[in-house]
Amino acid sequence: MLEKTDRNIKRITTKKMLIKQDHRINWLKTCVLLLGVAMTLTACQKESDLLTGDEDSHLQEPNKGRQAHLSARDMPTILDFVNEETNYTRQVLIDKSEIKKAKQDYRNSGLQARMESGFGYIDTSNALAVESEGVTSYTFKVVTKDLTNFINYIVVEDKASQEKYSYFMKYTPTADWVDNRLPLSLFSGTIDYYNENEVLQTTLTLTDGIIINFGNTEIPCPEILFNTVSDTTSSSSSGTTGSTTGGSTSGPIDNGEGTSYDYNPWQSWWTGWVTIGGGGDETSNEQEIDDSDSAGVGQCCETCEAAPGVACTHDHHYYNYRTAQINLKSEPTMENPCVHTGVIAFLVGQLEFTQEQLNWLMDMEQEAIYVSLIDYLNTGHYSPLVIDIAQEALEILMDMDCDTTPSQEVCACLELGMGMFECVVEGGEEDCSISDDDLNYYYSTLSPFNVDLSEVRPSCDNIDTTSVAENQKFMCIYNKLTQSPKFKDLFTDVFGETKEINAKFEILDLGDTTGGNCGLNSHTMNPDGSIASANVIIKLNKRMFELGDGNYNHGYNRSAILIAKTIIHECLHAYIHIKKLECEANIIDWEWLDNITFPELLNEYYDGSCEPLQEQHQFIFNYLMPVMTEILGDVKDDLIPISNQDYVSDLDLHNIPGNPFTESHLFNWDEFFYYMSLVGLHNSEAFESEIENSTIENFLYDKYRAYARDFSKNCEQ
Amino acid sequence: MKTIITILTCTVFTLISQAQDLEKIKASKDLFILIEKREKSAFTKGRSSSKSFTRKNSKEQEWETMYVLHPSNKSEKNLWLTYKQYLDFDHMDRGDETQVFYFNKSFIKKNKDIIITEKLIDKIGFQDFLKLISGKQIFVIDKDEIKDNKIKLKQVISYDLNYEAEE
Repeated sequence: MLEKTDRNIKRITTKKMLIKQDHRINWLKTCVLLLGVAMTLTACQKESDLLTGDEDSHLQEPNKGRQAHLSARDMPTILDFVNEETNYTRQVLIDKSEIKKAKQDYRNSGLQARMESGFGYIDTSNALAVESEGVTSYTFKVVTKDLTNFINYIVVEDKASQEKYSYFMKYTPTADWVDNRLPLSLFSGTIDYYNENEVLQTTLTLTDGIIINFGNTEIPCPEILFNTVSDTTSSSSSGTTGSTTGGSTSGPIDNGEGTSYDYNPWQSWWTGWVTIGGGGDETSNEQEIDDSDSAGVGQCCETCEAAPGVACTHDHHYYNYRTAQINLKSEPTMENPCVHTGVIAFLVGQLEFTQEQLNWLMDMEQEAIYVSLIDYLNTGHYSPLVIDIAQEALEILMDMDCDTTPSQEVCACLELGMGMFECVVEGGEEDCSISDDDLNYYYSTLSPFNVDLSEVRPSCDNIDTTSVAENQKFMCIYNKLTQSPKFKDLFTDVFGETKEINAKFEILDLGDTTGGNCGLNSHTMNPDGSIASANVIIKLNKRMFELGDGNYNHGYNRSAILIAKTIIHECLHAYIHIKKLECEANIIDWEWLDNITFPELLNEYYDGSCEPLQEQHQFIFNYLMPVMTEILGDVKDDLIPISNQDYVSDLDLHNIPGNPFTESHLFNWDEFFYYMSLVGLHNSEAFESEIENSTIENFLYDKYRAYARDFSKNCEQ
Repeated sequence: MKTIITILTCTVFTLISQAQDLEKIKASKDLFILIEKREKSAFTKGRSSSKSFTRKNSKEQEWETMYVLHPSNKSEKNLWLTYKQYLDFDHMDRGDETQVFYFNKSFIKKNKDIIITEKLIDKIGFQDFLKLISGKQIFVIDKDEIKDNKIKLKQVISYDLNYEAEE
């Protein structure tokens, strides 16, 4: 057992370099990035045991999250609350194919009811109830005529305080996401969060399930608990629909036979729908809106999936979404049952943790384990590599059996309140056994483009050992860069768009003076002349990475922060290469900063001839410096040891012979990153006019880049 | 340190008695540059406070010495040869001070064939000089620092202000 544990520790340790926990990621992200619907801890538990139609029965097991479907009559107090929220003015009745104004209180009608909101109709005939530790959330779907989005209405009830609140979440997927029937875990589009008065609070933007924009307003604690549509969607969807339908009249869970029916909470609920494909009845929105009673949801999708490329006989495909909900809590700790429930759900449904692992996690009841696990997963964007590491770490902890052998080092570490990854995963080098695809996938999710690091990563192949140290240093620095959120958004933040760029990194000897270069290898163009995709090669000078006490010429032995600058510089070159191609194709595509169109900008900076290189530098100088300095500021503490920072903290440039200052001029980090980012731009006209011709600017430029070389050459994992 | 001194000494003495040979200088890992007072010297020298290279708890004010080589072509940037107590912050963290060696004054005469002088720089030109020192460990002999018939060899960091290029 111990040998196995040791092996696991070693294996997992070697992967640590790839995914360092970024403690700057706060709990906001932790909550937001949770993917997985809130569900019962015991997925196979008989549902009728969980909820019997009596609201009070929800809280029989306060420490475990549970979920069930409720019909309107199962939740009168909740519906009362909804009525109050809607001021009793929006009730309507639904009669299968027709929506009409209410003529009587739906509570007395025994009919399925929907309540109108500005978005449409809150379908109160069914709700997904999720409760844990005294807090229950009820998720209703909102029927809208807008087929481009789907909306949930969520009511949260704290049983102890009797407090309730509600809000709306609107999901607007991209056409690509819909067309490709991607799972909700890979949701691309926007999520709008509205308060109970349907006032927009903030908007999140997601790409492939990853939140790329958190909006302008922070949500107090948004725990987006997505459920994903698994591959088994279509096969289970008929049963799903049946359960939903049945639940509306005969109880939330019962399948009509009084027993559980192999209920799988991951496949049992859908709350939104869009039409995909074409040919629908454009004149009848009512028909396009799926009714929860529809039994054809799964069948349609199943038909089309079975015959790809063949036109579907149905007018519309109803996408089988799962519940998507946000619960607001001020303190997203494990005391928050929504987090707890979401974690468990996610572990089961998304990460394929075994039931044994799940049970162990539940038994442990250690908040630190959960928190650390989710933080780790969030940091790594749930890539396969990260999930693999998480599972291994969990396996190690289970093997440790700290309950019976608490004296082990890892157990002691946990006892001290450290997170599981701090205790289990420590230091180490990159594991050469990780596949190139996994490695590239992971880093592509964190980079401004798709990356190919196969040539610059540590390899298990011991034949070529010529660049081991250089590769290791590069990977370490690149890893740090990817932990800056600005790095991922490098292109979108500056250019307002991004391109399909595949960048391959290489490290080789480029001579004495250059840090790197970037060349366009190949590209494809759209019919309109815009770039569809491009393959670039970024070459970095091996000499930059060379360590050695003796060699302190300027091209050699660069500090880690200076290498990071060079990498950013070449990344920007990659993008501008693409834009230059479009310039040559005379493409007019987007507005630019200062109300200058891109062609005008190109004309101005490329002198109307699309000349390469130095014109690009000029462009960088004027427009990209802020981004570069911000990213470098983000990685400062990762690449410049605190001791180094202390050394320059009170350095006065006024003491340097030949300085142009008449008074004290202390070392300034903003200045440092600015002037360091200028390295390589010296041939641009802007540089010559603004730096070269200024004594002070020139002095600062020389001194700061000299200091840039003094900083640490090492990159600590 | 003894090993380094031994290697350095061997390097020096194996080249003794040979004529100044540019090829041998090129082949040498270590280069020695003689700084001497001359009229219209291309070198200027300055000392500056180098608090950044002084340990925080040190009361002693350290200094750095910078030798600046001014190319005759005014369009080219200077070359800095800088001696500091520590080569960089990594060395400072480790407490590894910059290498300094002392030899008898006769060292210069005996090794004049391998010591780079300003005349040699003028002869080969600034750009070729930059290529010559690239990748080498550089030591400066400052004639002003000759004391008691002893010369001081100190390692310097070279820094070409002709900018790092990013293509």
